[in-house]
Amino acid sequence: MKNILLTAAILLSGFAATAQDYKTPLTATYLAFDTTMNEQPRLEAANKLKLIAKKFPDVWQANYYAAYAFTNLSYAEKDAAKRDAYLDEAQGYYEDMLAVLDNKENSETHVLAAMMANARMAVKPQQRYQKYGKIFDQHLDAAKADNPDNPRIYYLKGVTKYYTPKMFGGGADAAKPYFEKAETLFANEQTDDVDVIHWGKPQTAYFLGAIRKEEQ
Amino acid sequence: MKYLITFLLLLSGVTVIAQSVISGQVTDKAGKPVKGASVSLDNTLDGTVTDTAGNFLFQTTESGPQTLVVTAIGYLDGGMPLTITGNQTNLRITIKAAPHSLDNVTVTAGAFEAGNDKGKTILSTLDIVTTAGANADVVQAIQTLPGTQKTGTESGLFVRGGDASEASVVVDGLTVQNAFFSSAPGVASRSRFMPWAFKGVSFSSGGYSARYGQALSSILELNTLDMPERTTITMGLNFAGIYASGQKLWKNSGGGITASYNNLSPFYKLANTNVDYYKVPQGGSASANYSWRPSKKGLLKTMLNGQYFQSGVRVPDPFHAGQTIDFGLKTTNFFGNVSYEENFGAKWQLFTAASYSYNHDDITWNGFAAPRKDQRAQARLEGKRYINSRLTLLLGGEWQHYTYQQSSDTGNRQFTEDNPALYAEASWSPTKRWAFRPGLRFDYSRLLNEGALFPRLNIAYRTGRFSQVGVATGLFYQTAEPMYLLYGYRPDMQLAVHYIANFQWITEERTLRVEGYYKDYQQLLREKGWTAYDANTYRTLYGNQVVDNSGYGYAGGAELFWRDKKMVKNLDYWVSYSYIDTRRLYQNFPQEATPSFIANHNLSLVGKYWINKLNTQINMTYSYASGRPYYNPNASDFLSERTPDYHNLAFTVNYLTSIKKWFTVVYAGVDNLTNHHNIFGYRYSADGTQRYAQRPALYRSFFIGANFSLTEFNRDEL
Repeated sequence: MKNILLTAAILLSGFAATAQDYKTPLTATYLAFDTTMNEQPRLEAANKLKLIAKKFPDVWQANYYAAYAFTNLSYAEKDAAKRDAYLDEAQGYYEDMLAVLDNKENSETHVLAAMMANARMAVKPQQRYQKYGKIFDQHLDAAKADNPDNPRIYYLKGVTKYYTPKMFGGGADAAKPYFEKAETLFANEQTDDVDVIHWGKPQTAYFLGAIRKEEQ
Repeated sequence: MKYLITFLLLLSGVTVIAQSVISGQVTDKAGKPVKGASVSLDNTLDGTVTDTAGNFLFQTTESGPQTLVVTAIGYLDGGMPLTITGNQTNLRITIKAAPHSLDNVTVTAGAFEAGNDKGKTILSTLDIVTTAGANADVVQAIQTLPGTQKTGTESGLFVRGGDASEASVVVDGLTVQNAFFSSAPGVASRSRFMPWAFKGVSFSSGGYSARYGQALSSILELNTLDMPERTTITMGLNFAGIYASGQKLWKNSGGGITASYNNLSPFYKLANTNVDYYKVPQGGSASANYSWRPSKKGLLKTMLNGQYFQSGVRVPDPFHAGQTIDFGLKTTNFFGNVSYEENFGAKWQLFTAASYSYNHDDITWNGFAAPRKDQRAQARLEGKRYINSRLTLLLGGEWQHYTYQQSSDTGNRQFTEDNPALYAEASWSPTKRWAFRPGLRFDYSRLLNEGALFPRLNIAYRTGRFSQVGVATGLFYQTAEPMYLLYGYRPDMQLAVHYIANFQWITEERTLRVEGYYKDYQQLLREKGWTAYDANTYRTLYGNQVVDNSGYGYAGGAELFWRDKKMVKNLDYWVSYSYIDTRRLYQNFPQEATPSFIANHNLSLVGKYWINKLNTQINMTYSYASGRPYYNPNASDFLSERTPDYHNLAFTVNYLTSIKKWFTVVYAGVDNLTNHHNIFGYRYSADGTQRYAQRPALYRSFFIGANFSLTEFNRDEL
């Protein structure tokens, strides 16, 4: 499945380049990235998202997905220096995106910024939680102020709760209501238009599944 | 992957005409394949990522002259021009490893940084809290670093041959007059500072900045948190008392209050004390803090702290060896400070701060009142100019005003002193490898009617990615201690010249520091006119002695610090070793000698081991000090005899859990596990026939306690 998707993405992007249309390759590549957890295809898809962002620098979504992909690569990487390098790359696209938006942030850009802060913290939690924990909260608060029905706010909060040790107020029990809230909000989010940020539904389902399994 | 490529090739053959295959391998200079490198045609969407063998393969519809771009993390960008006329296979691209970027070097000679702000520091505040044997006291944790002496019967920080008066404690740039709790003679007391309130601690064992004066040996600089970390309620109890604290964080401000009550009865009941308390130390303290950011560039911080303690202890009579005396103490202490910092554009920073402190020790000796009182006010104003990214200039001034009063059966005595000072300091890094910090300070003493210039210099040179060497020197000074000023003596300032050289190698996980120093003491005070040496540091000068600046001395030594967090998973340990050779002729010494507070060899071994499964941290500290000199009136040479060596093995266990929504830490510890009978010196009876050991208040001691904190309890996130 993932190989086919990726192949489709690569092929389609070949067409798109000639058509000067970002949307078709972006849709396919984003899907390719978000539907596999295997390292090499993810790297290839992230690389393709980077090429799309470079080719279409004036499309904020192109920069958004490049930043999104490299942030996700950082989470999966083990080497601390590499994790930071991925985030440096993500930061570059995030800033390009803000420039395209004339620095007018919205709920989705705040969620992205929060996720990047969280990924920074995850590299060295003990040294970084004070600085990046605060940035994470600030961006999520801003995202909520802009659009309280953005499910990704509660998904991200749920993920951080899930991985926080129980004694610090985290754990599966604490995370569950956040994922449940996200799930409810995702039900109202019916789009598959790549221009409208809509990632997170399968990830939420995955965590809820894991929590329910733990409960049994 | 193979299928993918086949599939892709097949498909592409069918669907697209004039597709070319671009393939090859990316290697580094040594010929090793680079995996995960991005390979693409510039400004197209055609590209891929290399596999584990460094191979790449992709299709393109482009033709004619193109640029192949190769990027990889940790490498310089590479690539090659390419003219596409059909398939281009077996391309060989070599990319170079990126040189490691060097961090800017900072001066480190004589300075130990501890904090949470910066990436690479030697200790964090958490390290201080969890050091076994340090009892969550900043100063006792600092005493596990090289350059310090173990103390057991005297309060204070003894650094590189200096006595307690030679180290000054500074909070947010302002001197703390009474950094340690008042105590009875022969009983060491802790500092007033708990680590929680501080974002950073900087311990200088010499060669410190021109911002500070009035300390011959050392500055311990504490910087309070800018804002409470989060809205929290904290409560705790232990064998020494109970406390509660609340911190609230608003949008642009934060503040809180803390209150505690201490009573050491349970603590002293559990162990045999060497000190006979007829009233166990007890008292309370309250403090308040508030921070406000009026804009993104400004920060106002205030702190108020008040304490009241009392104790009664039967101490060996310092005037008559072998007899005891009832020493009653009621202390009222207040300390408040306010500071404001603002950045003006990218070029200027202004810092201003003011403080006031008050201390009243209501002392009785066998019922006779001998109260003492002191007050201090201090203000500081400084401007920092960022001339460019390599040069910063600091200009500032401070004013210290303090008074001491002491009453006894022989009358009331007091003095008032003003110390205005001006200073300038430059931080200059002409390249990333070099850092220079020259400084100049002018200090004036109104009481002594004496002003002088004191130059300082600190240089660092980066020798490698993780290593650097540094040197520091400077002239340091100190006015006579209150004991002399109260009795009308007005000697000149005492001086010390520091020469320090160090090597430091520091990575995220390991630190190695080697430092050597030589200190030249000049113009030390001497009391002339005593008929015999008096070992009592509480001796009274009745004005019969002549006090002048004819004293002198030196201290030289070598120190080693090694910290390793990597060797064993979840184990963090450090080793400090100091060797010192020092002699001086000062105060009432009849001849040059090594003072009684000096051990030539000091060793600390601190370990912390985290057991993930049990949510438990085990901490251990072993301290060793070689014997210290003591005065034996029967010996032929002055201060020639040594006490036995000092040994202390301390353990603490912290267990982390949550009770309902409360984050809970339960801790228990034992100090001096082996119950080693440490002796810090001997005192002799007047006729020299009997001697009495100077012992710490406790040999072995136990404690247990718990801390509960509730965070963000009212935050509605759903």
